[in-house]
Amino acid sequence: MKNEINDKVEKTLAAFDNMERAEVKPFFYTRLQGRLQSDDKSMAIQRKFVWATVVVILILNSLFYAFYEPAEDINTDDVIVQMYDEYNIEQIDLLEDVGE
Amino acid sequence: MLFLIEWVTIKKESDTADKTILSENTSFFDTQEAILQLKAGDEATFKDLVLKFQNKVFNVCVGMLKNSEEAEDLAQEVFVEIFRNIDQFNAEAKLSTWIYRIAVNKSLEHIRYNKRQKRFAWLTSLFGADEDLARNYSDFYHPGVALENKERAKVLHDAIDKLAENQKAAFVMHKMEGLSYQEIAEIMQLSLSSVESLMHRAKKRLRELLNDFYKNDS
Repeated sequence: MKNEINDKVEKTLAAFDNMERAEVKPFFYTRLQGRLQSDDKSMAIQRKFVWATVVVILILNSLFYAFYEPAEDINTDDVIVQMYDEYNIEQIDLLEDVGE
Repeated sequence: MLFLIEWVTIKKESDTADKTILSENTSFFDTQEAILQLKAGDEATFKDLVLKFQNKVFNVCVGMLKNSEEAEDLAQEVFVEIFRNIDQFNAEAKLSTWIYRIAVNKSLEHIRYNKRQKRFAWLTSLFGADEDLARNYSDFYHPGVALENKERAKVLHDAIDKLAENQKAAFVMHKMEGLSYQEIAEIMQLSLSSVESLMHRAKKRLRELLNDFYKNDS
Protein backbone atom coordinates (compact mmCIF):
# COMPACT_ATOMS: atom_id res chain seq x y z
CA MET A 1 0.00 0.00 0.00
CA LYS A 2 2.74 2.42 1.04
CA ASN A 3 4.82 1.41 -1.96
CA GLU A 4 1.86 1.94 -4.23
CA ILE A 5 1.35 5.48 -2.89
CA ASN A 6 5.08 6.24 -3.18
CA ASP A 7 5.01 5.02 -6.75
CA LYS A 8 2.05 7.29 -7.55
CA VAL A 9 3.78 10.26 -5.89
CA GLU A 10 6.98 9.74 -7.90
CA LYS A 11 5.04 9.33 -11.15
CA THR A 12 3.05 12.49 -10.40
CA LEU A 13 6.21 14.45 -9.62
CA ALA A 14 7.54 13.37 -13.00
CA ALA A 15 4.34 14.40 -14.82
CA PHE A 16 5.95 17.59 -16.11
CA ASP A 17 9.02 15.81 -17.50
CA ASN A 18 9.30 16.11 -21.27
CA MET A 19 6.28 18.39 -21.42
CA GLU A 20 5.99 20.75 -24.36
CA ARG A 21 6.02 24.49 -23.98
CA ALA A 22 2.53 26.02 -24.03
CA GLU A 23 2.02 28.29 -27.03
CA VAL A 24 0.06 31.50 -27.40
CA LYS A 25 -2.90 31.69 -29.75
CA PRO A 26 -2.16 32.93 -33.29
CA PHE A 27 -1.87 36.70 -33.92
CA PHE A 28 -0.59 37.41 -30.43
CA TYR A 29 1.52 40.31 -31.73
CA THR A 30 -1.46 41.86 -33.54
CA ARG A 31 -3.50 41.75 -30.34
CA LEU A 32 -0.57 43.22 -28.43
CA GLN A 33 -0.32 46.08 -30.93
CA GLY A 34 -4.03 46.80 -30.46
CA ARG A 35 -3.56 46.86 -26.72
CA LEU A 36 -0.56 49.19 -26.94
CA GLN A 37 -2.56 51.58 -29.12
CA SER A 38 -5.65 51.53 -26.87
CA ASP A 39 -3.40 52.03 -23.82
CA ASP A 40 -1.82 55.03 -25.56
CA LYS A 41 -5.28 56.49 -26.25
CA SER A 42 -6.50 55.99 -22.69
CA MET A 43 -3.26 57.44 -21.31
CA ALA A 44 -3.67 60.47 -23.57
CA ILE A 45 -7.27 60.92 -22.37
CA GLN A 46 -6.14 60.50 -18.75
CA ARG A 47 -3.43 63.12 -19.25
CA LYS A 48 -5.93 65.54 -20.82
CA PHE A 49 -8.33 64.96 -17.93
CA VAL A 50 -5.61 65.69 -15.36
CA TRP A 51 -4.63 68.92 -17.16
CA ALA A 52 -8.28 69.97 -17.49
CA THR A 53 -8.82 69.40 -13.75
CA VAL A 54 -5.72 71.45 -12.87
CA VAL A 55 -6.86 74.30 -15.15
CA VAL A 56 -10.39 74.31 -13.65
CA ILE A 57 -8.97 74.42 -10.11
CA LEU A 58 -6.67 77.32 -11.05
CA ILE A 59 -9.56 79.23 -12.67
CA LEU A 60 -11.78 78.69 -9.62
CA ASN A 61 -8.95 79.88 -7.38
CA SER A 62 -8.35 83.04 -9.37
CA LEU A 63 -12.11 83.76 -9.52
CA PHE A 64 -12.31 83.36 -5.77
CA TYR A 65 -9.46 85.83 -5.19
CA ALA A 66 -10.85 88.27 -7.76
CA PHE A 67 -14.34 88.44 -6.23
CA TYR A 68 -13.48 87.87 -2.60
CA GLU A 69 -14.57 90.67 -0.31
CA PRO A 70 -13.31 90.37 3.24
CA ALA A 71 -15.88 90.96 5.97
CA GLU A 72 -15.65 94.33 7.74
CA ASP A 73 -13.37 94.31 10.72
CA ILE A 74 -15.33 94.07 13.92
CA ASN A 75 -13.95 96.23 16.64
CA THR A 76 -14.13 94.15 19.80
CA ASP A 77 -14.01 97.25 22.07
CA ASP A 78 -17.23 98.54 20.47
CA VAL A 79 -18.93 95.20 21.09
CA ILE A 80 -17.98 95.28 24.75
CA VAL A 81 -19.31 98.79 25.15
CA GLN A 82 -22.54 97.77 23.39
CA MET A 83 -22.92 94.83 25.79
CA TYR A 84 -22.37 97.10 28.81
CA ASP A 85 -25.08 99.41 27.55
CA GLU A 86 -27.50 96.63 26.67
CA TYR A 87 -27.25 94.68 29.91
CA ASN A 88 -26.60 97.65 32.22
CA ILE A 89 -23.40 96.09 33.50
CA GLU A 90 -21.39 98.28 35.72
CA GLN A 91 -17.76 97.81 36.32
CA ILE A 92 -17.23 95.62 39.33
CA ASP A 93 -14.43 96.47 41.60
CA LEU A 94 -13.42 93.26 43.28
CA LEU A 95 -11.45 95.05 46.01
CA GLU A 96 -14.33 97.42 46.81
CA ASP A 97 -15.48 95.62 49.99
CA VAL A 98 -12.01 94.82 51.28
CA GLY A 99 -11.24 98.38 52.24
CA GLU A 100 -14.36 98.81 54.35
CA MET B 1 17.57 57.53 -56.08
CA LEU B 2 17.61 53.97 -57.44
CA PHE B 3 21.01 53.49 -55.85
CA LEU B 4 19.62 54.62 -52.50
CA ILE B 5 16.70 52.17 -52.66
CA GLU B 6 19.13 49.34 -53.56
CA TRP B 7 21.38 50.29 -50.66
CA VAL B 8 18.44 50.28 -48.21
CA THR B 9 17.31 46.86 -49.48
CA ILE B 10 20.82 45.41 -49.18
CA LYS B 11 21.20 46.92 -45.69
CA LYS B 12 17.88 45.39 -44.54
CA GLU B 13 18.84 41.98 -45.96
CA SER B 14 22.25 42.07 -44.29
CA ASP B 15 20.65 43.11 -40.98
CA THR B 16 18.26 40.14 -41.15
CA ALA B 17 21.16 37.84 -42.02
CA ASP B 18 23.12 39.17 -39.03
CA LYS B 19 20.20 38.45 -36.72
CA THR B 20 19.82 34.90 -38.12
CA ILE B 21 23.51 34.14 -37.67
CA LEU B 22 23.42 35.51 -34.15
CA SER B 23 20.33 33.51 -33.21
CA GLU B 24 22.12 30.30 -34.13
CA ASN B 25 24.99 31.03 -31.75
CA THR B 26 23.96 33.61 -29.19
CA SER B 27 20.73 35.53 -29.01
CA PHE B 28 20.57 38.81 -30.94
CA PHE B 29 18.73 40.22 -27.95
CA ASP B 30 21.79 39.71 -25.74
CA THR B 31 23.67 42.28 -27.81
CA GLN B 32 24.04 45.97 -27.08
CA GLU B 33 22.76 46.72 -30.59
CA ALA B 34 19.39 45.11 -29.87
CA ILE B 35 19.02 47.02 -26.61
CA LEU B 36 19.82 50.30 -28.35
CA GLN B 37 17.31 49.55 -31.12
CA LEU B 38 14.63 48.71 -28.55
CA LYS B 39 15.38 51.86 -26.58
CA ALA B 40 15.13 53.86 -29.79
CA GLY B 41 11.61 52.44 -30.22
CA ASP B 42 12.39 50.33 -33.30
CA GLU B 43 9.15 48.52 -34.06
CA ALA B 44 10.70 45.70 -36.10
CA THR B 45 13.10 44.80 -33.28
CA PHE B 46 10.27 44.89 -30.75
CA LYS B 47 8.23 42.59 -32.99
CA ASP B 48 11.18 40.16 -33.21
CA LEU B 49 11.49 40.29 -29.43
CA VAL B 50 7.80 39.50 -28.96
CA LEU B 51 7.93 36.63 -31.44
CA LYS B 52 11.01 35.17 -29.75
CA PHE B 53 9.75 35.44 -26.16
CA GLN B 54 5.94 35.22 -26.44
CA ASN B 55 5.75 31.46 -25.78
CA LYS B 56 8.38 31.57 -23.04
CA VAL B 57 6.54 34.33 -21.20
CA PHE B 58 3.16 32.66 -21.77
CA ASN B 59 4.49 29.32 -20.53
CA VAL B 60 5.67 30.83 -17.24
CA CYS B 61 2.39 32.73 -16.81
CA VAL B 62 0.20 29.71 -17.58
CA GLY B 63 2.26 27.56 -15.19
CA MET B 64 1.78 30.07 -12.40
CA LEU B 65 -1.86 31.03 -13.05
CA LYS B 66 -3.40 27.75 -14.31
CA ASN B 67 -5.62 29.69 -16.71
CA SER B 68 -4.82 30.13 -20.40
CA GLU B 69 -6.92 33.27 -20.98
CA GLU B 70 -5.55 35.10 -17.96
CA ALA B 71 -2.03 33.92 -18.79
CA GLU B 72 -2.25 35.35 -22.30
CA ASP B 73 -3.63 38.61 -20.96
CA LEU B 74 -0.77 38.75 -18.49
CA ALA B 75 1.78 37.90 -21.20
CA GLN B 76 0.50 40.93 -23.11
CA GLU B 77 0.89 43.05 -19.99
CA VAL B 78 4.49 41.82 -19.68
CA PHE B 79 5.30 43.01 -23.21
CA VAL B 80 3.50 46.31 -22.65
CA GLU B 81 5.70 46.85 -19.59
CA ILE B 82 8.81 45.91 -21.56
CA PHE B 83 7.83 48.38 -24.29
CA ARG B 84 7.20 51.18 -21.82
CA ASN B 85 10.14 50.55 -19.46
CA ILE B 86 12.92 49.42 -21.79
CA ASP B 87 14.72 52.68 -20.90
CA GLN B 88 15.05 51.41 -17.33
CA PHE B 89 16.83 48.23 -18.46
CA ASN B 90 20.45 48.79 -17.47
CA ALA B 91 21.96 45.69 -19.11
CA GLU B 92 23.35 44.41 -15.80
CA ALA B 93 21.51 41.16 -16.48
CA LYS B 94 20.59 39.55 -19.80
CA LEU B 95 17.47 40.86 -21.49
CA SER B 96 15.89 37.39 -21.26
CA THR B 97 16.50 37.38 -17.48
CA TRP B 98 14.79 40.77 -17.19
CA ILE B 99 11.81 39.56 -19.25
CA TYR B 100 11.41 36.40 -17.16
CA ARG B 101 11.67 38.53 -13.99
CA ILE B 102 8.83 40.77 -15.17
CA ALA B 103 6.73 37.70 -16.08
CA VAL B 104 7.27 36.08 -12.67
CA ASN B 105 6.59 39.29 -10.74
CA LYS B 106 3.45 40.02 -12.74
CA SER B 107 2.21 36.45 -12.23
CA LEU B 108 2.77 36.66 -8.47
CA GLU B 109 0.99 40.04 -8.36
CA HIS B 110 -1.92 38.54 -10.28
CA ILE B 111 -2.14 35.54 -7.93
CA ARG B 112 -2.22 37.90 -4.93
CA TYR B 113 -4.92 39.98 -6.65
CA ASN B 114 -7.00 36.85 -7.30
CA LYS B 115 -6.62 35.79 -3.66
CA ARG B 116 -7.81 39.21 -2.50
CA GLN B 117 -10.77 39.01 -4.89
CA LYS B 118 -11.70 35.57 -3.56
CA ARG B 119 -11.44 36.80 0.05
CA PHE B 120 -13.87 39.63 -0.65
CA ALA B 121 -16.06 37.70 -3.09
CA TRP B 122 -18.84 37.34 -0.50
CA LEU B 123 -18.86 41.11 0.00
CA THR B 124 -18.87 41.96 -3.69
CA SER B 125 -21.58 39.36 -4.31
CA LEU B 126 -23.83 41.35 -1.94
CA PHE B 127 -23.66 44.21 -4.42
CA GLY B 128 -24.41 41.92 -7.36
CA ALA B 129 -20.85 41.75 -8.66
CA ASP B 130 -19.83 39.22 -11.27
CA GLU B 131 -19.52 35.67 -9.97
CA ASP B 132 -16.38 35.37 -12.08
CA LEU B 133 -14.49 36.90 -9.16
CA ALA B 134 -14.60 33.62 -7.30
CA ARG B 135 -12.99 31.68 -10.12
CA ASN B 136 -12.19 28.07 -9.73
CA TYR B 137 -9.28 26.69 -11.71
CA SER B 138 -9.63 23.06 -10.66
CA ASP B 139 -10.43 21.96 -14.22
CA PHE B 140 -7.25 23.35 -15.74
CA TYR B 141 -5.15 21.11 -17.99
CA HIS B 142 -1.77 22.41 -19.16
CA PRO B 143 -1.75 22.40 -22.98
CA GLY B 144 1.84 21.09 -23.15
CA VAL B 145 1.32 17.95 -21.08
CA ALA B 146 1.07 14.59 -22.86
CA LEU B 147 -2.38 13.02 -22.84
CA GLU B 148 -1.43 10.08 -20.61
CA ASN B 149 -0.02 12.48 -18.01
CA LYS B 150 -2.94 14.91 -17.94
CA GLU B 151 -4.57 13.62 -14.75
CA ARG B 152 -1.28 13.38 -12.88
CA ALA B 153 -0.26 16.84 -14.12
CA LYS B 154 -3.54 18.24 -12.82
CA VAL B 155 -2.92 16.71 -9.38
CA LEU B 156 0.63 18.09 -9.41
CA HIS B 157 -0.61 21.52 -10.48
CA ASP B 158 -3.08 21.59 -7.58
CA ALA B 159 -0.26 20.68 -5.19
CA ILE B 160 2.03 23.36 -6.67
CA ASP B 161 -0.70 25.89 -5.91
CA LYS B 162 -0.24 25.17 -2.21
CA LEU B 163 3.49 25.97 -2.25
CA ALA B 164 4.96 29.22 -0.97
CA GLU B 165 5.30 31.92 -3.67
CA ASN B 166 9.07 31.64 -4.12
CA GLN B 167 9.02 27.85 -4.18
CA LYS B 168 6.21 27.89 -6.72
CA ALA B 169 8.01 30.34 -9.01
CA ALA B 170 11.27 28.39 -8.87
CA PHE B 171 9.54 25.04 -9.45
CA VAL B 172 7.49 26.30 -12.40
CA MET B 173 10.51 27.90 -14.08
CA HIS B 174 12.63 24.79 -13.61
CA LYS B 175 10.09 22.11 -14.47
CA MET B 176 7.93 23.86 -17.07
CA GLU B 177 10.30 26.28 -18.70
CA GLY B 178 13.38 24.08 -18.27
CA LEU B 179 15.53 26.85 -16.80
CA SER B 180 18.67 25.94 -14.89
CA TYR B 181 19.09 26.77 -11.19
CA GLN B 182 21.67 29.41 -12.17
CA GLU B 183 19.20 31.11 -14.55
CA ILE B 184 16.48 30.98 -11.88
CA ALA B 185 18.90 32.51 -9.36
CA GLU B 186 19.56 35.42 -11.74
CA ILE B 187 15.85 35.92 -12.45
CA MET B 188 14.83 35.82 -8.78
CA GLN B 189 17.94 37.77 -7.71
CA LEU B 190 18.95 35.05 -5.24
CA SER B 191 22.11 33.06 -4.71
CA LEU B 192 22.47 29.66 -6.35
CA SER B 193 22.39 27.92 -2.95
CA SER B 194 19.13 29.73 -2.08
CA VAL B 195 17.51 28.41 -5.26
CA GLU B 196 18.79 24.88 -4.53
CA SER B 197 17.31 25.17 -1.05
CA LEU B 198 14.01 26.51 -2.46
CA MET B 199 13.75 23.62 -4.89
CA HIS B 200 14.64 21.07 -2.21
CA ARG B 201 11.92 22.40 0.10
CA ALA B 202 9.43 22.62 -2.80
CA LYS B 203 9.97 18.97 -3.73
CA LYS B 204 9.76 17.87 -0.09
CA ARG B 205 6.51 19.78 0.42
CA LEU B 206 5.08 18.43 -2.85
CA ARG B 207 5.86 14.85 -1.74
CA GLU B 208 4.01 15.48 1.52
CA LEU B 209 1.02 17.01 -0.26
CA LEU B 210 0.84 14.25 -2.86
CA ASN B 211 1.20 11.58 -0.18
CA ASP B 212 -1.75 13.06 1.69
CA PHE B 213 -3.75 13.33 -1.53
CA TYR B 214 -3.24 9.68 -2.54
CA LYS B 215 -3.82 8.43 1.03
CA ASN B 216 -7.18 10.19 1.14
CA ASP B 217 -7.93 9.13 -2.43
CA SER B 218 -7.44 5.39 -1.79
